[in-house]
Amino acid sequence: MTLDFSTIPEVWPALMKGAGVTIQLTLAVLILATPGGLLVAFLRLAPQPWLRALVLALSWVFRGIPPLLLLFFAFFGLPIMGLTLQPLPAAILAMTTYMSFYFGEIFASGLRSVPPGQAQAAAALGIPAHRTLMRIILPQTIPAALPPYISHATEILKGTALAAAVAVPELSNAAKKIFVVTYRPLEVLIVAAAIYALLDGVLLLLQMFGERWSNRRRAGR
Amino acid sequence: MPSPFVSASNLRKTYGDFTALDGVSLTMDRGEVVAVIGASGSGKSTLLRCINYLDPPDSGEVRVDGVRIGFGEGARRDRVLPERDIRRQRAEIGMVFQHFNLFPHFTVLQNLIEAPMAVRGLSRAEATERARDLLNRVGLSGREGAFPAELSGGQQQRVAIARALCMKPRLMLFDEPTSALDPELVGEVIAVMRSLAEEGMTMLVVTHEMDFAAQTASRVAFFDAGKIVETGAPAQVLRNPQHPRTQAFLQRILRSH
Repeated sequence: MTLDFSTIPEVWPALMKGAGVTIQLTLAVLILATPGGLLVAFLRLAPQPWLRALVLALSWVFRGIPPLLLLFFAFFGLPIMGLTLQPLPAAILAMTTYMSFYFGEIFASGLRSVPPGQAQAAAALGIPAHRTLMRIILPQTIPAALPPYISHATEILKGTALAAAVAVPELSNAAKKIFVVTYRPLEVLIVAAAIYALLDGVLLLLQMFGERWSNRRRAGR
Repeated sequence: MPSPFVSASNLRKTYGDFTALDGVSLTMDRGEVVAVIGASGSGKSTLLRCINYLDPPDSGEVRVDGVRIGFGEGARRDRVLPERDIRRQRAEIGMVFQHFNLFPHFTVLQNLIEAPMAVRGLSRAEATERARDLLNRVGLSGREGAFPAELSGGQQQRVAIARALCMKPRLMLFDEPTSALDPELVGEVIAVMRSLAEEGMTMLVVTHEMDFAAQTASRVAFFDAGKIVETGAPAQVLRNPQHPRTQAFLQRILRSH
């Protein structure tokens, strides 16, 4: 067996275009699922028992379903209910829903790690509830929540390959479209894998810095 | 007769089957220092938390300087105020906790100026000036850039007292302020509280420090099973208790000291 990378320069622009869509999808899901996760976390800790139970049940459902199935729901199921989405928005919707519940668990355990005395002290001083949340409570959840948050972000990156199943032109899909024409699957797949590894490396680097930073904070500087 | 500065009347509070406050009434004059003593779990802390509505009482009424805490006046007298308004009322009442509850991600200075800026609308410069004065008063000038974790327990509690004072409260509540401290650090916190009392601050202090109760309090209230069973001058309650429960409690304390 010999590897022949001579066709790569020719298909490089197409691979880059695919990588661009992969980055777009990853960032969109990350940006949307973060507030989504916060919302889930707040609802998980709501004072109303029925609300907590409802969100727990939804969390169990959405984290239990294979992401591919969710993707099919968003792309093939929703049009029947009157909502037709293009492949990319459908993929963003499905993955954001899924990841919101994962992030929700991370953020909820981060919020639970802040001692109740913090909110009490803020309340005793008369600090308004929203300011207490933004300035007192949330900053203290970061050290505990940051490492699992970033490692889930790498899951998003890898998960974007599933979007190929609904014809999103992301990196894996682009690679497949190329090798069915060039008949050199191995070379194209190796290059695509390298691009994923590179993107993943960026996130790993972020994680490393994040962990070092949060360890410093936990040690009380 | 002028109405008392602080009045709590017939407060009741239960948690499930546990009755923390079983009809507690207490009045305080301006500048009075009342020490609340009693066994752990007798409801002493709940009394403080009901006075500033951190824990709303099930029934009863609290007034501080004529203002009914937690409720409106006139036509709105039977309606619980929105949380936003209760927080504004609470800003007038300082509270010091057993475990300090300083904000660990803020420096000492940030801990002090956060509420005056957020609630009182002070500028950073005004709040900082006030905070520096108070840190000086509690013997911690020069530590404003430190984080709470870098301070001893006694220093942290003095920062917590300064943080509460930074709001210029009219009443200070202390919830076992020295119970979490190493014995050698108790004195520095008591000294700050004593000087505060001498300046005329109205203080309600839940404490196990009998020396503080005897020397600084103007009155001592003995708490047992959700009730104030005896109240009076420190000399009377501590040296010559009338109620058998008070006698038993003080005997236990004396034996353990």
